[in-house]
This record gives sequence, C-alpha cells and structure tokens, in this order.
Amino acid sequence: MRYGAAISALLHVGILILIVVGLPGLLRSDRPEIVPISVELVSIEKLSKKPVKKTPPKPKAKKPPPKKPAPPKAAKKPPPPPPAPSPTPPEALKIPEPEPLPPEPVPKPKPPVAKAEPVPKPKPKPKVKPKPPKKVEQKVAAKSPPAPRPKKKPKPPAPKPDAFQSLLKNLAQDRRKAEKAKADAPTKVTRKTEDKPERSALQARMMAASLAQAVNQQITPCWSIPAGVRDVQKISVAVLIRLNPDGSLGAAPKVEDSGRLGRDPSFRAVAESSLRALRNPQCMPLKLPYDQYDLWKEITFVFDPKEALGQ
Amino acid sequence: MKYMIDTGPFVRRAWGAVLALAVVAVLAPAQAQLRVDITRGTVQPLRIAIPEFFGKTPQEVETGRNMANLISADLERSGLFKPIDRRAFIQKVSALRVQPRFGDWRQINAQALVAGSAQAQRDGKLKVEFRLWDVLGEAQQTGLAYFTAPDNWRRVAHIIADEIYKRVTGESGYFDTRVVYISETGPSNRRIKRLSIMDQDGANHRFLTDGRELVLTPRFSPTAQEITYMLYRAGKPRVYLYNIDTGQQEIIGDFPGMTFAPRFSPDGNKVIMSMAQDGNSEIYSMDLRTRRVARLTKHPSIDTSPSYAPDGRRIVFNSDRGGSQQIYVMNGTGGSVKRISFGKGRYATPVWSPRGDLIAFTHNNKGVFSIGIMRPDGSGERLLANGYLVEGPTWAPNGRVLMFFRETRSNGRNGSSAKLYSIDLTGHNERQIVTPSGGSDPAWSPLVK
Repeated sequence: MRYGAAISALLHVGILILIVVGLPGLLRSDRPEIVPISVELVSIEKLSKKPVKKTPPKPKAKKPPPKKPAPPKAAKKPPPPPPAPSPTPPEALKIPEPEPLPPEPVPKPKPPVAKAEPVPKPKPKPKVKPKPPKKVEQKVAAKSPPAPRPKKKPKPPAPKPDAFQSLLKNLAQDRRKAEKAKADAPTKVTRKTEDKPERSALQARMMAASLAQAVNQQITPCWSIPAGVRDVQKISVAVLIRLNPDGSLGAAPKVEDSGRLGRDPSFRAVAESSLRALRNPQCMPLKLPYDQYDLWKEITFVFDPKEALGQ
Repeated sequence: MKYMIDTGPFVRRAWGAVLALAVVAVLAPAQAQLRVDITRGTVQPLRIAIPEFFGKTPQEVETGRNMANLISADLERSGLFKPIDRRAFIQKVSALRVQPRFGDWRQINAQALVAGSAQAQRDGKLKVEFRLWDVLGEAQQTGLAYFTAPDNWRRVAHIIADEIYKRVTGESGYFDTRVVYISETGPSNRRIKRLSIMDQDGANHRFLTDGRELVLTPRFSPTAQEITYMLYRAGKPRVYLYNIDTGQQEIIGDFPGMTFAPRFSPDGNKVIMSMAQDGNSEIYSMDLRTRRVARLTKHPSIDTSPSYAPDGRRIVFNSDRGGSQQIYVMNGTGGSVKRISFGKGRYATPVWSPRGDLIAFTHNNKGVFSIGIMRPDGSGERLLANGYLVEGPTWAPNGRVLMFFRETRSNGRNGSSAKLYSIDLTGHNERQIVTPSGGSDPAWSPLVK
C-alpha cells in the first residue's frame, strides 16, 4: 500500500508537471487559433498573387482564363519534343500493339452489348498509340517543370517587396530600395526555407487551414458535380496529388480506393469529375505561396457531392 | 476525501493533456500533407467535342456527319453534355483520326472528345468506329466498332450516344429506345386518337392503329415487342395486347366488367390492371402464359393504377380508401397495404422507377396539376413539372428522365393542345418531344435489345 501511495504520489507529481507545462499551451492554442487564421488568410492571398495586378476576388476568376493560355503553352512546349515522335507514328503503329492490348479487355465486355443490339461487332482495334504519347508527354511534363522551378523561386519573393513598397510609398523614391530589395530577396528566401523547421505546430496548423481554404476556393469553380449519379450521397472520392513548386501537377493524381473504379460506375463518374477539376487549365496551376511549398506539395482532396446536392 | 475529489478533475485534465500531446504527436507527420475538402461545385454540362465522323467517299462523309449530328443531339438533350460548336475546332478530322492533339482540344475547353469514322466495307456493310477521349487526362475512355447495314446508321449512332453517356455518367443510357403514345388530331369534340410509335428522338414515326377505335394508356412490355393498352371496342373498354412485329391484337382475359390501367410485370410474364364492376374497382393480375387471374385488392373503395417495383415484390397503386385519392404500396401478391402519400390534394398514376429508388406520380391540388417523385417509403417528395393539365409520367429505362404530357387550356375547336415533354430528376432541363401532331399518354420502351 505504501508503495502504491508512493507511486500514486509520484504519478500525481508527474501529472501536475504535465498540467503546468501542457495545459496552458492547450488553453492558449484555443484562443489564438481563431484570430491568427484570418490574418494568415489575408497574407496568403497577397502572397499567392504573384502577379499583383488586381486584388478583388472576382477578377481572380477572370484572370485565370488569360493566364490559362500560359499553362497550355507550357503543355505545348513539351509537345515540341513530340514533333519528333510525330514522324514516328508509323513506327508507333507497330509498337503500340503490345500496349494497346490493355485497352482491348475494356471493349471486350461491351461488345456483347453491341452484338446484342444491331449487327455491331465491337472491334477493339486499338491502334491506341495514345499510351506511348501519354508517357512521353508526362515524362516531358515532369521534366520540364523543374526548369521553371529555379526561375520562379527567386522571382516570387522579389515581387513581394516591390509590391509592398509600391503600395506604401511613392515609386519615385525607390529604385535604389527596389534594387536593394532584390538583392535582399534571395537571402530572405533562404531564410524562409530555413525557417520551416521553426514553425510551431500551431503555426503549421493555421497555415494549413488557410491554405486549404485557398485551394478550396481555386478548385471549387472547376468541379462540375455529376448530379445524376445513382446513390451519389454514398460517394466521396479522395484524390492525392503532388504539386510542382509552380503549382502545377507534378504527377498523375491518384484516386484512393482505386479498385472501386472498376466495379462501381457511379464512383468512377464522381472520381473522373474530380480528376477533370484537378486537371482543368482554368483552375489548375494552383496559386499558393511558395514559401509554404513544404505544406502544399502534397494535397489530399476529398470530393464530396452530398452537401452540394442537398442530400 | 476532499483531496481525492479535488484531484479527480485534475487527473482527467492531465490525462487530457497527455492524450492531446499524443494526438499532436500522431498528427504532426500528417500535417506534411494538406487535406482539402471540396463540398461545393457547379452543376454544368460536360463540354464535349464531337467532330464529324471521318469518311473517304462522299457517301461516307455524309453518313459520318449525320451520325455525329445525331450523337450531339442525343447527348445535348440529356442536359448533361454541351457539344461544342464545330466551328471552334482546331484539329481537323483527318488528323484526329491518327491521334488527338489534346492541346488543341483543351484550348477550346473541351473536356471530352469523340473521334469516329464511317467506312463502307466490301460486303456492303458499314463499319463505324468511335473512341471517347478524356481530353484533360489524355486517355482513351472507351472505343468500339460496329458493322451494320448502311441504312441502320441512326440506330448505331444512338447506341454510340448510349455508350458515351454510360461511360461518363456511370448510368446506362436511354437513346436507343422508342416511345409509344397516343397521337391526337382533330377538334376536341371529334378527336381522333391513334396508337403511334417513334424513336426516342421523334424519328421513324408510324401509326399502329387507324383511329377508328379509341385507344388509351399504352404500356411497353419489358421485352419491347409487345404493348398493352386499353381500347374501346363496341363501347366497351378492355385491355388488349399488341405485338409490334406482327401487328396482332388480342384481348386480355375474359372479365365481366371493364378493364383498364394495364401494366406489365418486370419479367413481362404478367399484366396487372384494374377491373371495375358495380361501381367498385379492384386490382387484378393475369399470368400471360397460364391465363390465370389473381385478385390483389379487396376493398369497397376505388383501387387502380397499379405498377410493379422492378423486383416484382411490391406494387404501388392509388386508392381513395382513406377518403381522398392517395398512393399506397402493397406486396406483389396483395396484402400489407401501406399508405405512402400524405400531402394535400389528390395523388394518381404512380409509376415505379426502373431503378427502383423512386415513384413518379401525378398530383392535383386545387386544379394545379404536377408531375412529382417520391421515394417508395413516401419521403423526399418533389414536384418536377406542373401545368393546367400534366399527366401520364413514364420513366426512361435508366430511371433518370421522365416523359409526360401537358395539355394547355384549349379554346374550343382548334384541336389538340396536348404535347409530350421530358424532364430529368433534377427538375431542370424540360424538353418538348416533337411529334407530327398532338400527343398524350407516352410510354417509354426499355433499351432496345
């Protein structure tokens, strides 16, 4: 019993220490969460607008379209390599055969339907060269982004100081300062990147919350909800994406529970609508603050149509 | 004791702190990955590019154009697709045949692309191929080829439209279907009503009866080769069966009273209907193979408009046994009657969806008619369309779209004002079905097999 009492006393002391150390932290965390979040939101919006032309939210929606051409162009740039493949298509014809095989199995199940109806014989003649090109393009895309990265990294920080100064002071004063700022910028970048580990868990959480909101606002306009899907209220789709530092997709998005794609057409319809949203050039290179790249380089999206469809 | 009591909350808090720390520790690594919930979006039709199908000879080119036009029209009418104006296309059909340049299609905001070809074969048949491409994902979603008689191109185009619809929405399509309805011509006091049939898009229209006898409430058999309906012959309304292929007509059953409101069972082996006698009407079913008749209701009220659930285990019907006309559900063999509608006004002509999840009905409250839907337990009631007179809902085979007819207030002589309409479950996208003359009492066929 005495031992027990001693142990319990020790435990109590330990617990008291925990309370002293831990509780205040908890209590504090509750309060600050609310206030700082709004602050973070503002700053992030500003940060995310690398091209600080117009601040109103609506313009954002409009601006993207003009910018979109840019991403497509980027996409087109990779194609230049394809031009080389373009002469090869004939070759592709021969090579594709092994790869096309996979698409065949898909058509096969449908043929019966087709046969059943008129006189249609479904010929899965997959000359499907698509695959080879896809791979090429994807690889190209994957490779090409790295080039922009280094360029963009230094740039974004530089404009920020410029932007602030232009807002706060007369432009006339500041060529020198601007130059200085540019000179300083890189160092700031390095500091920021070094700062990452210094973020407290709370800070990271707040940043994550405001980032999530920013991402939500950017993707929502591009998600066209498949309203007619059966049992849509039972479906939500999680998609994992990896992003390049410029906000573009770094690899093909991955649908969680991908096995369900093959056996549940409704799930597949919702999943594909999600993928269309994430690939839509009108929304897609996400505009997010580069200095928090470590927080948003991987994002798990959960697309859930229940609320929107009122079910 | 006091000490102990005081420590209780402390201990709990301490444990709370410990747990909180543990949770933070567990969550910390997870924070590296951002989670974003997308719960809102837009409900916009899918932008789809459907270039003319490739052909070499003028004949093939024309067929290719017609097929692409028909597929566009089918998909557009569904309200779920928005075909893009072909004048915006950048890549030419001949080049598309080799390989889509996805950048060209993204530039015009296409999300899906249909590339097809129509080629005459040596044996005189037509070979039609198509591929559905996911423009943003740069992948083929489906691809099929068909061999058919050249004059059967409409059918193949409908089948292709169904395949595209199915691949994109996850639901089977309804374009390769037909509709029977009552064609109405002439002034309202001498209205000529003929049983008519046409493709779902209004093509291949023909009359099945000559109009000398009054025909009402046609219903398709699940096999699509037979229609059941009510026909007045020698002043007596009776339920008949009509074979579309042979044109043969036969009366169903030998009932003492008038029979009406017939419908097939889901397996096509039975017809369920009402029989009225001595001012009372009850629901009967007749097995078409054995000709055995079964009485399913027994109540002094008027029970009518029966419709089977797709599994055949339940029947929805309407009855005024509760005072006003309302919707009831009972077992497939009769019994276990349960009322499911409780709203104001009168409910009539319930029809069970082929998907099983909904029941469509006609609702009349103070002279305002509506077409509505509710779940089989009576919940989730919604009215989709209304008018001076809307009636006769019938389901597309995929249970997503309803057809019905609407009559506008006619001013005396000038004939029929009844027209056919379709509407989808969202209550949006109401479309008129164009018929040569007025039309009422539509019945949608199952997918043609």
